[in-house]
Formats: sequence, structure tokens, C-alpha cells
Amino acid sequence: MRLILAFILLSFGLRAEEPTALFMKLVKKFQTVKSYEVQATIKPNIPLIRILPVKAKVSFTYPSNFQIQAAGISILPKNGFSELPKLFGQEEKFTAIATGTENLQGRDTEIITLLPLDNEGDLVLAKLWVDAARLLILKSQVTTRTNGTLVSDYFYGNSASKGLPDRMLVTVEVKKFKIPKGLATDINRYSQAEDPSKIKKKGTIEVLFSNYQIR
Amino acid sequence: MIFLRSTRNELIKIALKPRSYLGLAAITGLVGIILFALKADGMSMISFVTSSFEQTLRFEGNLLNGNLVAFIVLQMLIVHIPLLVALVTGDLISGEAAMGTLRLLVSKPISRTQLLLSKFLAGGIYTLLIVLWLGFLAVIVGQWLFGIGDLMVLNSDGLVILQANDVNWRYAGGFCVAFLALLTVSSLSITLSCFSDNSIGPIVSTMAIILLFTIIGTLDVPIFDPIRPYLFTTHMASWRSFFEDPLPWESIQKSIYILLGHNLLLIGISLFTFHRKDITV
Repeated sequence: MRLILAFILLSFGLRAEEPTALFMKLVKKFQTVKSYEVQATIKPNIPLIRILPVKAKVSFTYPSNFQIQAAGISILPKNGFSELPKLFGQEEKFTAIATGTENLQGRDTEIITLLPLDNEGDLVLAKLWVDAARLLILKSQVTTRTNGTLVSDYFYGNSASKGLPDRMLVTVEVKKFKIPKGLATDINRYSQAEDPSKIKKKGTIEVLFSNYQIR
Repeated sequence: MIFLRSTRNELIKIALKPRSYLGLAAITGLVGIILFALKADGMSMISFVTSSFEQTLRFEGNLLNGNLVAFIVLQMLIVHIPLLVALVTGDLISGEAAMGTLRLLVSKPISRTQLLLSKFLAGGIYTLLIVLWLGFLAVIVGQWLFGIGDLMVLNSDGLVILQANDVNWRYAGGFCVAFLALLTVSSLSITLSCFSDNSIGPIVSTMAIILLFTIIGTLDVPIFDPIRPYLFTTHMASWRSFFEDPLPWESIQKSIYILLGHNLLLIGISLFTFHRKDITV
């Protein structure tokens, strides 16, 4: 009986240590890149918004400072690209728990759930789908009190060794979008606007990265 | 030749009336106030529009630029311009009748048709001048003060962001349709002017008709559905269609045809009336 109990405790202990260690490895890999510049093409596909793809230059400085320079107006998730860097910059503030495995992009991933130690902070929950063999995050789901849930998929190419994606697909919820009628409606318009129930509830922002200049 | 001379004389008469400059001065003052307000606190106005989207998204770039400012100016002022046009064009026949110069004018060696058409042409040129001045202040001065950038337009079916290099032709097209709409107002006031012997009547009647048609157009009552698409006021805001993506070309064409149809109809009515007008009274 004692042997069985010891085995159970030991196995729980091992499982609790593994995700933390994996998360810390990701943090260390992230810390190897102190700054870079990259050309980005931002392609929003969001219900109620029509915009053409925009080219931009993205500059990153450790730990989570992003600057975006675009010729015109571009649309990004509210926190830009800084969701993950912010997590990596405060690694001591979370408890990492293994919550399963999943096959993504044809690769086995381990799901790590990050629970904040502080109940008053903005972060509620974060889930990372980690390709442990290559130490790459293939998907993230970050829930904050201010911005809701943001799901991002990451696709890697030439800069995979540095943990930098070639393509990023951010899914945003748009059900809260409302058009202020008084400002938008033409007083003489007689054609009907699209039925609100037919408007999609989710949109995506695809960002293609090319020509990383790592410093 | 005599038609062109008559048109020139009509333009001189318009130029000599102080009220002709009232419209230009009013537009200058109004645009100046709007530009000042936007320069001082334009971002708060934009955030009111984008606040719903900014719960999840972030807009990067210069939102408050000359193209957006020009659009806001047009949206605010295009509703008021008909009054400024009617103030001058509504007086072209009835003013002459009130002063007693119409009898003198008709006794000259020019047909009533040519005389009336020259007044229509002069009214059209004045309307064009008003539109060009508004365009200069809104687009040129707006871009000079606020710079050039992508244009963010809020339509009833969503937000459209147009690239800066895709905007100028839209303004050109928009101003052409706006001119056609205002030309209809000019034609309406000249037509009403044929029925009246005082200046105020046609001006007030023109505004009353615009107000009435606008109310009919906005009332969501099914009984007005069959006539609503044929009211010229329904198509006065068609200039906005140039800022939709994709461009609703069929809708724009329909508006152009309906506005042109109104102009022809009004010219026809006024010719019929003017030929039978008793100038001996």
C-alpha cells in the first residue's frame, strides 16, 4: 500500500516538474534573441472590417517591446505581438501544469497551462501547445481580463532555430463589435445593411514575416 | 452666340449680388471651424467610432489624416449646401420679376428658351463653383493641414479602410455626383422661381421640398417604399457610395440616371411655364 502511494505521489511530482522545466526551456530560448527587425505583411480578415493587406516593419527589443511602422493604417490584435513575450518576461509569476497532448500541424505537442499566482493580475489563463522536440510554440491561447481570449497559431520556417515564426494566425472574437448607427447610417440610405445574425463571430489576422534581421 | 452672351450676363448678375458670396463665406467659415475642432480634439471623435473595435483590436498608423478630415467635412456640410445654392439660384427668375427687369429682358432679341437655359447654365456654373470651393477647402487644405494617409470610413455595414493612393479618384467621382445632386437643387429652385414673382418663395419652397422628401426617405413606413428610390433626395448622399468597397457601380449609375432625369424634367417644366409666363403684370 505504501509503495502504491509513493508511486502515485512520485508520478504527480514528476508530471508537475516536467511542464515547468519545459516552460523554462522556452523562456531561455526566447531570451537568446535580444532584438530583431522583420518585414511583415498583415492580412486582416475580420467581419465588419474591409482592409487590404498592409506591409510593415516590425522591430523587437527584449523583453517585450514591439514597434510597428506601416505606410498606412494596419489592424493588429489589441496587444500587438507582445502576448507571448509578456508571459516569458514574468515566468516566476505562473504555475505551469501539463494538461494533455495534441497533434498540431502534423506534430505531437504538449499542452502547458499557465496559471497566475496572483489573482489580481490581468492574466486569467494561458495555454501553450509546445512542440517539445523542437522547443517551439505552435499555438497559444491567452485569456486576460481586459482583452478576452486570443488564440494564435504559429508556423515556422527558416528562423525556427531562434523560435521566430514565419507565419502567425491570430483568431479574434468580434461578437462585441457594434457600429454606431448615428454616425454610420446615411440619412438617405434605403438599402438594408447585412443581417447581424449572419455576421461571423470570429475573425483572423494573418501576419507573414520575412527577412529577419537578428541583432 | 447670343446664348453665351446671355449666360455671361447672368454670371455677371450673380457675381454682383452680395448673397452670392454668402455661400462661399459660409462654407469657408464652417470648414475652418471643423478643421480647427478636428485639429484640437479629432482623436476623441475617432475613438468614439473605433471604441467598439478597440476592445479586441488595435489600429496602427495615422488615423486622423487629411483624407479622413475631408470626408468628415463633406459628410457634415453636404447636407447644408442646398440652402446656399438655392439662395442664389432661386432668385434668378423671380428676382427679375420682382424688380421688373424680366419684361425688359424678354423684350430683347433672345428667345425665352435661350434666356431660361442661360439662367440654368449660369446657376449650374455657380453650383460648380460652390462644389469646387468646398472640395478645395476639404481635400486640399485638409491634406495640407493633416497630411495624407489611409481613409477609414464607417458605413452602416462596417468599417472600410481605403489606401491613400486609392482615395483621390473616389473624391473626384464623389464630387461629380455631389455636383449633380446640387445641380438638381439648382434646377428645382429655378423651376420654382418661374412660378413666383418674389425671391423668398422659391428659396423657402426648395428647402421645404428637400426637407419633405428627406423625411419621406428616412421614415421607415412601407407605404413610401415604392416612391423612395425615385426621390432625388434619396440620391443626394450617393457621393458616399464612392467610398465603399467594392464600388456599388450599379447603385451609383442608378443615382446618376435619376438625378439627370430630375434635371431634364425640371428644365422641361420650367420651359413650359416660362413660355406661358405673363410678364405684362
